[in-house]
Amino acid sequence: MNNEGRLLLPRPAPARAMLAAIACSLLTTAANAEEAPVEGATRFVQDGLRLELAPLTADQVRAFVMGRGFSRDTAELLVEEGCIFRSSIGSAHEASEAPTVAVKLSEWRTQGSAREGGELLTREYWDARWRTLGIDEDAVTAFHWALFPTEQEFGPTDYNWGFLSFGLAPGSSFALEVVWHSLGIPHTARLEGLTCSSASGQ
Amino acid sequence: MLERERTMTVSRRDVIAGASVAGLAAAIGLPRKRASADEGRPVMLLQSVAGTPDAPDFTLPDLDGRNVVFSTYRGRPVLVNFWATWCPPCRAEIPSMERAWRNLSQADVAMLAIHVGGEADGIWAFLSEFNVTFPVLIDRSSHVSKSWQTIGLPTTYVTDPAGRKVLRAVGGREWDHPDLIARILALKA
Repeated sequence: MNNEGRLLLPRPAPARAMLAAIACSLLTTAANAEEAPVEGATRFVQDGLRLELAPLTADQVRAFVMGRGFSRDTAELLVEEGCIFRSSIGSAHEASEAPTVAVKLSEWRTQGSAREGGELLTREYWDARWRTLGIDEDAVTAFHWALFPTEQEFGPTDYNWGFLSFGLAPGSSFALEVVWHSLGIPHTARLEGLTCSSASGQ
Repeated sequence: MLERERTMTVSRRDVIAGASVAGLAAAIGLPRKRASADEGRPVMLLQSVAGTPDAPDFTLPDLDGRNVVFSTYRGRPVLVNFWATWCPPCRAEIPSMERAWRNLSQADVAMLAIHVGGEADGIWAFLSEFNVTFPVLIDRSSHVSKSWQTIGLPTTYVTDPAGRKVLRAVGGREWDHPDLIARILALKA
């Protein structure tokens, strides 16, 4: 699945680039996610994107948010509704002249789960939710920055770390359609077999 | 820490104590840096900032409560790092920032590490663990971080002596890497 070798090839001529763009826009790759040594972790490298994600256990979620000033009740709300994964997402390119890679989480979808639509719960969703609940501003700020940005562009070797919130019930199994863009070309991959941690899990 | 991942379990006692941030950080994997084939060391790049815009001025308190004004650093390159104690790649790059600081400060390059969010006690504990000596400021509301177009942590900008953003790194780096030191020092010319 590692296609980094393509980076060393000359850029395609405009006509070829257009054909490649059309082909890529129609192509959804079933990504064979590489199993990382860490239990439950999924990692893949494809078409300039490097992605790694793994579910946080319920206790890890509780520890993080309560350490940031959230109450026990709010931590339980997040455990029940958040389906939090940690992620590291960025450019797989290591040549300085390589193109940027852009990610918009609003384009990602969960599939095979009970929740309709399948959109991720982004920073904007949780910021609004916390303010509705009157959560302390320092806690809101910390959680905002702990979540992966909704939109981000990565230069070569750039990456970011952050939580992804899939908004599913504890223990839910789902597939994730990942979308990214490079040189104006959309790329997609489908990650199978992801599971939210159980509410009681350590 | 950059090269390996570890799993961990948070105990209920940790949850109650709310003191498991360091352990949680260890559980969150970081991208594996690849070694370049010719040099046998990780590839470290800085991106050029398009248009080299003026960096927004700011006044932020340091850990002793003294205000620091960014514009007073005019005439020197400044490495401005946005970070947080609970951000795993931020923690990973801090030791290399300290090593770089010892080098860059001798060359009259400034460094400001801006902690996003307010956690003075946690910051102190962290800094004592890593023996950090470069200036650390607190952006409690994250207003300055956002005004600098920072959207993820860590993000680092290097400004030139005229106060313009010229270089950027999204994600952690090994800041004492010779390639990065050379690019920063080149801004003095």
